[in-house]
Amino acid sequence: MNQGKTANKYRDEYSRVMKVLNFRFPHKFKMIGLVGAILIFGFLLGYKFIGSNDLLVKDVCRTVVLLLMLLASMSKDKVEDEYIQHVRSQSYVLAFIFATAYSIGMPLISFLLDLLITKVRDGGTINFHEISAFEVMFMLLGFQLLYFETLKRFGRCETE
Amino acid sequence: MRNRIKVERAELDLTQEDLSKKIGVSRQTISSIEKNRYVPSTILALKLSALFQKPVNEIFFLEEED
Repeated sequence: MNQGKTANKYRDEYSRVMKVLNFRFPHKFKMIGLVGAILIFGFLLGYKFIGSNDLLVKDVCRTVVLLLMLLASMSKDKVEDEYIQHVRSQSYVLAFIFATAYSIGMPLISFLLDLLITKVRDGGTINFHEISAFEVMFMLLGFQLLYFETLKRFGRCETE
Repeated sequence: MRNRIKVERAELDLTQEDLSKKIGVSRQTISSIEKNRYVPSTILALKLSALFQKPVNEIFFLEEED
């Protein structure tokens, strides 16, 4: 009796997880997400360029950029078949690896450059370049979108 | 794993586009399977088998390293 209840519980949990895993927005949201993210990222760069430094504006823009990139990442492709799902999961794996490597590697590179080229300043203290949560998430989603398109291109064939 | 989808497709005079429409996938999927870059699911293999009217193991073959 208990075994049956446990099996049912696992089955329910499994179907809930699968629902989340298989959830995708319609294809049109991909373009909306990509174009929106590029426009707001451009605005952020311009905002910094004109010398404004309102933290609230920057934080809101960063959050919206991440949300739009997530929207693009979670949107269906034109033809959503098993190959596209396979490519998408591969792109998530690659993005995870490279974003982790980036968040470890960048502070090290920055530290070494500081040590070798710019030399030690400020009374001998060397500051590690701290990576923000935005930077990591931006790289993660950016790598995923990039690898998804790249891996998809590998499957294309010119000859019939 | 190797396959003879390209040969079977040629015998039925189908393009990648035609085949992809018949089994409900993208042309990229057919191209990737033909190039041995993607191993299709059992469902897709059975659809191909039904279309070519041949058993799955006459379309897909295991190699030494499999």
